[in-house]
Amino acid sequence: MFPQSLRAKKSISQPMVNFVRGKRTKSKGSLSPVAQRVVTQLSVMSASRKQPKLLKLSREDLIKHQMIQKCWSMHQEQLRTKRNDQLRNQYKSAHNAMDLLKQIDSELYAAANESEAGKRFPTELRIPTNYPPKKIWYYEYKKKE
Amino acid sequence: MSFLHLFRRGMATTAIPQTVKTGLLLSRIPIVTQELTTLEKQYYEYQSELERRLMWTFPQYFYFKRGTLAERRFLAAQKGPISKQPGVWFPKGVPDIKHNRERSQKQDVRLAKESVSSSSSDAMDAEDVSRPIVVNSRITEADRTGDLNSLERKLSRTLYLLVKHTKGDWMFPAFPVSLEQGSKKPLHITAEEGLRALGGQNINTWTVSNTPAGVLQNGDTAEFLIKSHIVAGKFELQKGSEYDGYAWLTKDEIKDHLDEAHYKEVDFLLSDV
Amino acid sequence: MLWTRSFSSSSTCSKSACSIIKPVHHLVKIDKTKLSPRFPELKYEKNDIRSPAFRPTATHQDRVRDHYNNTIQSDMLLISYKHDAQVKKGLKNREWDGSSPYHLNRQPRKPKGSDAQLPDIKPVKWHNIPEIESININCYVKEAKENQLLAITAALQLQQITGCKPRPIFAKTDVPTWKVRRGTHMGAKVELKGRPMSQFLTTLTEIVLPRIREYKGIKNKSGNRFGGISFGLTPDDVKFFPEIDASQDLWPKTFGMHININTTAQTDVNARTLVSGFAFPFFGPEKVK
Repeated sequence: MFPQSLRAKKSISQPMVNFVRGKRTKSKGSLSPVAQRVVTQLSVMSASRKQPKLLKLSREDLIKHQMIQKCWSMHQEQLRTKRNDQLRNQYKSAHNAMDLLKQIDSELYAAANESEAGKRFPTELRIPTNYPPKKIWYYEYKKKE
Repeated sequence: MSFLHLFRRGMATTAIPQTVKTGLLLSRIPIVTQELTTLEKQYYEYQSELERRLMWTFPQYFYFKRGTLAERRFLAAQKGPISKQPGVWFPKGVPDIKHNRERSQKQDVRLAKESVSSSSSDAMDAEDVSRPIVVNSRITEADRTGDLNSLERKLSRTLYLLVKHTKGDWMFPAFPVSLEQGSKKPLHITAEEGLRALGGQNINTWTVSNTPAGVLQNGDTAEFLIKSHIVAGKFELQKGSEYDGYAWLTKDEIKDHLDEAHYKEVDFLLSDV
Repeated sequence: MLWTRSFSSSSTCSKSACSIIKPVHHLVKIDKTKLSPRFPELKYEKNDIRSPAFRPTATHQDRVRDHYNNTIQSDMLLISYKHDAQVKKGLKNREWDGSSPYHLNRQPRKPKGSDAQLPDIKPVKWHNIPEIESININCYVKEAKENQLLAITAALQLQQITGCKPRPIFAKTDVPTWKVRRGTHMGAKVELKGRPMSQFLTTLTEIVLPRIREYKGIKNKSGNRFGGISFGLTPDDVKFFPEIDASQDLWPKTFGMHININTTAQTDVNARTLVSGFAFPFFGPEKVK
């Protein structure tokens, strides 16, 4: 009885068995963490095992796709032509105005024809965004003295 | 009228106009992107779906370290693909899975909801990446009330300043230019000063160029148009001028406000958007 | 006129020693993959949906391009308008005067004051309004000569920022003083066009540059004489890119980069005006010539 209880007591006094993990023997740990990170980085950039299946279009789908593409390119072409026509008209209009101004007054003409090197768009003119900002317009502008 | 018009055209080549004015094409550039046509909307949708279908698999192992809580949370948020089972018929084709992605379909990557069980204060919400994005409306109060004087109307279009003469017709603001020796100023400076006299000092504009964009000839008067953008501030019509109203209008609306012959001369100077 | 002695008595036009037909037969490359019947889908253009390399390009609205078309383009036309402007001839190669018989097959004489010929500067009209063509980002890592892994990390950084596949750059020559050896992998570069370019431009001007401390802008002296604007970002500036900012623990080290904006402007003065239209700040004295 006694030795048994003693053994039990002993086990109570030493409840924790320390399992010390030994050194890894498999090859997985052979890379240093730095190298491992670079391997991960390379795999982010590489296509291996990340590419989806190729598209396989039926004949009908292909014709539909080509029709859509054609439609789009025609639409773009129309927009381009329209834009170019407008720009050509703008150029001619500026040209006419300058011609007339030259006849009317040489000084005004010289001022209007001055080189504008160093002209900058103001940074407040922002590129349009998909949705407006919280404060749409800055009204509180005061004239600088 | 048509005879007069012809006469005017004929005059332009021969006689030099004696009175010079400078007009101002003051515009507010679009604040939001232009409206898409149905074709554009559908085409973009089609192309972006194609792009998603052809996109590489998201490398989640780079963003979420293996065995971390973040990775587990991320994986829990994903809708996993259907894996291949022996003896099962798959109506949409046999699954082909690599890196937890069905290769024949687009990958739907979802951000994990951050656990906000402890507190739901605003500070926490601002930190939360996965919070829903609330956007401001592209249609503003000014659009709803139809306020033509507001700079906040029609955010997706270029607006131009038009003023109403006391006689009743609309026009671009125009200012007389003195041709006398002592008080001669370049056209764009006359235009900007005239604008300040007309609409108050608290307005910030940027003159595009010294060069006039065009000229409107009317008998003995030549009105040179100077382009300018409003950057900040407000146009408020001052008392005691020859105008009694103003409006910020898009190109389509300008067409209704100006008479046809006048509009035709400035049509191409105005932006379509 | 003095008669100079010549090697041959026949005139220069009827020289028999030089071939008039250019030998192109060995310069034309034959792409053998195109000849093979094995992979028919490889013969399609890359923008054909049947090609394995197909990638859709117009996937969303391009707001930068729209802004350019709606506002900047016509403004640039007016800003660069010059009445009755003529073509400004660039420096060109000169002819030898023929005073010596050795002039006969000599290379043309270099232009005065320049090593190479310079292009003519044509007046800006509706068809040649300057626009942004492409953006080249160059990330050269000096330390990569000791640690090759850094070049890979730099490439990934570019890929994360731009969303496009970077290409490696290698040292071109041996530079003993810098301990650089030819052929060493030194970093990465990427060329952006179209929508990725717009995306990069807006990220830069709306998110990154405003967050840089005491950022003044691009130098007004910047430019390569032919309408290219370049500037640089330091490693600390790069940390403000949202892709890097969101996962800072992955980026203990970032790399600075050179950004070249290529425009179709013929002069730097015009190019700088154009680039300022995309909300880039500029600083310093303007360099007109």
